[in-house]
Amino acid sequence: MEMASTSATPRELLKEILSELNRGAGIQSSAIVSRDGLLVASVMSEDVDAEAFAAMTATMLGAAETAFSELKKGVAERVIVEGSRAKIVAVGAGKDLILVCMSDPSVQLGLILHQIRRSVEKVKKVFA
Amino acid sequence: MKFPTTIPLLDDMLNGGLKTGSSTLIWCSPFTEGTTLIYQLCASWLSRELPVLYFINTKTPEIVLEDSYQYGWSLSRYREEGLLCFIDSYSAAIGVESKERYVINDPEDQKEIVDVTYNAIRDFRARNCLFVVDSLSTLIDRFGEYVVDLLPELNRSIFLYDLVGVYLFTEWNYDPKLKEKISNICDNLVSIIPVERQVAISDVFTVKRRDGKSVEERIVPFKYVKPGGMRIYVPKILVTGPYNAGKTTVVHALSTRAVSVDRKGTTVALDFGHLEYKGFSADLFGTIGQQRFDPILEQLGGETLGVILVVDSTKPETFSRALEMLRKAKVYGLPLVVFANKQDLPRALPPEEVKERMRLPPEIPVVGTVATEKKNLLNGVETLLSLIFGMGK
Ligand SMILES: Nc1nc2c(ncn2[C@@H]2O[C@H](COP(=O)(O)OP(=O)(O)O)[C@@H](O)[C@H]2O)c(=O)[nH]1
Ligand SMILES: [Mg+2]
Repeated sequence: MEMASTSATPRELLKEILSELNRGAGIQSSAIVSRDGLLVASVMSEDVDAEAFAAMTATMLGAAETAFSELKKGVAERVIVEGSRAKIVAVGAGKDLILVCMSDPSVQLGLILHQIRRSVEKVKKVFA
Repeated sequence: MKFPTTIPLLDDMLNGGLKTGSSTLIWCSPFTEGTTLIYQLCASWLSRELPVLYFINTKTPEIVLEDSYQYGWSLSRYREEGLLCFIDSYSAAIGVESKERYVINDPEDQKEIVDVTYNAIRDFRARNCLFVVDSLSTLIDRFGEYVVDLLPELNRSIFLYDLVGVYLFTEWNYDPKLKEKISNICDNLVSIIPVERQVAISDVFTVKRRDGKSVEERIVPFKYVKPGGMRIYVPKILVTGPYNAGKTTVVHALSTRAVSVDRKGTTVALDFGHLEYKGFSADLFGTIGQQRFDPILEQLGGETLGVILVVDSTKPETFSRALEMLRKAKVYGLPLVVFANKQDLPRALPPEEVKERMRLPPEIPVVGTVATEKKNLLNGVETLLSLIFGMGK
């Protein structure tokens, strides 16, 4: 079968970017979410309610950004939540999107952020 | 005779379903999926004790049964009973022995394919049998465009023998002229395409052709769920309204699964729930009532397809705040249903009076509800869904 291999849809590409990110050290699952709370793409285990996770992620980052602008201290770059069994990191990926990932609690934050930053650049390119 | 597909809006758009003697092309854009829809049609035929004849050249019959089982349709029983029969044009190609009633021994031999297939459809004549070809694109890939020229005769036999024909076709990079030809060959054309709305991407289906004529297209977003299959999908229904009106109660009462971010019983961020109803699936976003959270309300209003505005019918003084919330979320003008809630309380204004006091335009429905008793909530949802999809028009 001849496939239009060069022209994968944005959704296919986003999934590939996320799979690549999940292959990184300690990262278990990740998702791309619109600023208004809709799930755009995710690669996570099936027992996670991805849509609910998306809505809550957008609310979390939205609340943080609102708090920052109220304080007139510039913009909120990311939200980091450290739990006993996981870390969640959410960062803006362009005007409309958020990239969020979940990692082992033991992984160094710097390492996660470094990996996320690379993925964010790729996500931006998909929509460029 | 017409047989409903059991997929709500699809039946609407097909004027009631698939007609005996008709042929339907399921046309899938690359990277969209139509096989699940095919399985769903098979399951719905078989559950009505109507036969299914399934031409397969993309996987083994076993895989078809396993895949459909994942969606909650167990079809093996029907195969044992002989109500579901495969025309197996795949097993031989991978050197597996086939136990099916109709077997193509040499899948490279077009004459054998044609002969066996015609034998099979004659065996199932006059029984409103669903005849599936999975897939037409694979046939074209193997034998070239010439396959398409065989279709008019096949469609004639479907017509003569009272079958219901459904072909699955995936649009890889074929010659535009061929695509044009294929798109006009069947009575009905159902198209599955991915659509990007701003940033969210969802698959939609549309009917482009019905009973041999082009029709005005309506676009319906959907997703496949396990179990259940094709569900009309509304990614966002906003449930908004003043503080304490009953939004959280509504979201939880309507949802099969729901989560809320609560602080001392008041929502501080968002209620979120999944609603499943009569072949529809929707995600509900319940907002926060208090004014100080309006920035988040503004942010979450994006990409809304429909709005439920919940008001406490005993508190007319909050109605102006309710309308203000619609403006803040920038959803005024979208399909809207007002829930005049807490109708069980003695001082509740009846829905008509709520409507009057809110000075709502006459076309906006106001339904009286008791969220704590789930009373009239689904009624309201049904009204909203029909507004969103322009049903009954
Ligand atoms: N009597 C009555 N109480 C209701 C009804 N719906 C909600 N409530 C109550 O009203 C209060 C506020 O409801 P809630 O859903 O939290 O409101 P929200 O602030 O809009 O999310 C709760 O105590 C509910 O039990 C109703 O239909 N009738
Ligand atoms: Mg609430």
